[in-house]
Amino acid sequence: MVKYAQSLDSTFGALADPTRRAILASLMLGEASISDLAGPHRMSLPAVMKHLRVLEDAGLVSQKKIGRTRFCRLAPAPLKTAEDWIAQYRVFWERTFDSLERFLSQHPSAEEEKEKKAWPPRKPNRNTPSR
Amino acid sequence: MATSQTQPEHSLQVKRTFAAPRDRVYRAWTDARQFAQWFHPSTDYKTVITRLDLREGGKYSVEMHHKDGNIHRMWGIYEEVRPPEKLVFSWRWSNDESIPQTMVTVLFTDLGGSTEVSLTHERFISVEERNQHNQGWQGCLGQLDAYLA
Repeated sequence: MVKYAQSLDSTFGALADPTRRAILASLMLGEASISDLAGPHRMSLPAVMKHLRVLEDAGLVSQKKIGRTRFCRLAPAPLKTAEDWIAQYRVFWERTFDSLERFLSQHPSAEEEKEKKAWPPRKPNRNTPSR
Repeated sequence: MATSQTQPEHSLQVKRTFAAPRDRVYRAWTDARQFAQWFHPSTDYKTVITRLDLREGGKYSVEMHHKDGNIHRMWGIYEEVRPPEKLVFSWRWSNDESIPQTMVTVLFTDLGGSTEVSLTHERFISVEERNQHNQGWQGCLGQLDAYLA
């Protein structure tokens, strides 16, 4: 549990920066050298390397050296952990939608009431919203 | 490359003249920092260029952040890079992989002090897609005009 919390801290900490999110987005396209990654940013190479170190410490990026060039690659495992954590809260908002759905089916609008009374009924199960 | 087999209703062309020299207009499209300043359909968006590898076979990727929090992501590959007159690149929305890849060709014509940009975007699968992108480009080129002014 402690390890889980630590890894969430480092994942969300690493994600809490627009440059680091942009670096991850770039790596979605595949491996890139550090100068490829620095290219779009108004930033020196050392500044980009600092961001890469944070991403690497969080386990989100791995580096390897080919000749004299360092290549970076996305390591998605910590994102899965973060997603699992966020997914716990899905239960909460899905429950909210479920109760909204129940409310709407128990409190039909005046127009729907009129339609219900109309004979013959136009469509059965009109009050059951489909998803 | 062979001639396009797409039907005319599945492609769009936009032309616009900018009051700036051709080199400057070309740079606005190919320098990541400049590209980010204008490449969005309206000022409701902020653009982040996450990759721009300007060479044939190189990739680019873009995020358009709407002020309501939505992020549109797209990417593509430069198929032709001929400074300062021509760019050809593929175009793919990352958010919706079900939309097939389309192709964009941008021609920069020197009009002596001003520059005509002629943009062709083709291989749309529907007229609706085409029209949406047409609107998007009209907005983007309006932003480019404001940026270059």
